[in-house]
Amino acid sequence: MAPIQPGQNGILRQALDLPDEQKARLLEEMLQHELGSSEENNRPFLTTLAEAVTRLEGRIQSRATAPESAASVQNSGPRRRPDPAPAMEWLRLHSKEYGGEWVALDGGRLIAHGPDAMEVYAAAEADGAYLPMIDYIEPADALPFIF
Amino acid sequence: MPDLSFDVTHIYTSTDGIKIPLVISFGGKEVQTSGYADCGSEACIFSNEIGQMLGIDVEAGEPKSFGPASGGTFETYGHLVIIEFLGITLESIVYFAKFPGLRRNLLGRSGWLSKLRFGLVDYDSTVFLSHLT
Repeated sequence: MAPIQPGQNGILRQALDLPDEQKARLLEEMLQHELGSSEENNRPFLTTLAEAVTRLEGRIQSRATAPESAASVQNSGPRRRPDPAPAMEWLRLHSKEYGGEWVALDGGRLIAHGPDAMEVYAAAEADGAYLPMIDYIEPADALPFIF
Repeated sequence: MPDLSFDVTHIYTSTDGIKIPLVISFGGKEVQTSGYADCGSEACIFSNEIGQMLGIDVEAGEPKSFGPASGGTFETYGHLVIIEFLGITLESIVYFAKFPGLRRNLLGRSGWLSKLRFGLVDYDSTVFLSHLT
């Protein structure tokens, strides 16, 4: 594996600050990428990575089976927030398809959409995603906005 | 030349304005949504729908009417909320629209811009922010 360059520290910090679910996904992707390259000298790194994925998945699993822990996190100072970037990117890419509607997004996953804000919100609540992005998409033919 | 430094750099992908992802909280409830930076807006104005999602009794807040550029009056109610965006947390009065249908949440001067050091290079779709404490 190439040594970490000083400029990469920020990226690493960002990756470490991701919620566990997203961190697990990122690690899984890295693992798949490394497996794809299948270079012999990557083996110790692959082992470490695989162990990290297993640990994170275990942590996510235990949290899923103990919902009361989420409530305790809520009262223990600042919470980690979901990365809004995937949702913002989804909005950029799909706005034309959902003009005039409210959407609820879990990262890049569309949970619900429709013209009624509270129905979309209720669907997002029922989905159980942590802090989904709820946003209104302006109609494609809306006049330019000025307040 | 003034020497400015900022804690946060954010590249916005929206083409219709300076859209900033945020989490707004009130009374233990929180909603992730977005707002548009609007230096021309005197205050932060959010949609009625977001107020409802937060469980706010919108009309129980401090009534305030705004005069939009198009004329007339725009009725709102102010509530003290927490806004988190790009790693910055502010406690601010946000005015929620009396009626549903406001297309955008506006991050205006009072309650947002006045609490920040704010830089903008729209050509590069980039905002620079620091929280003034």
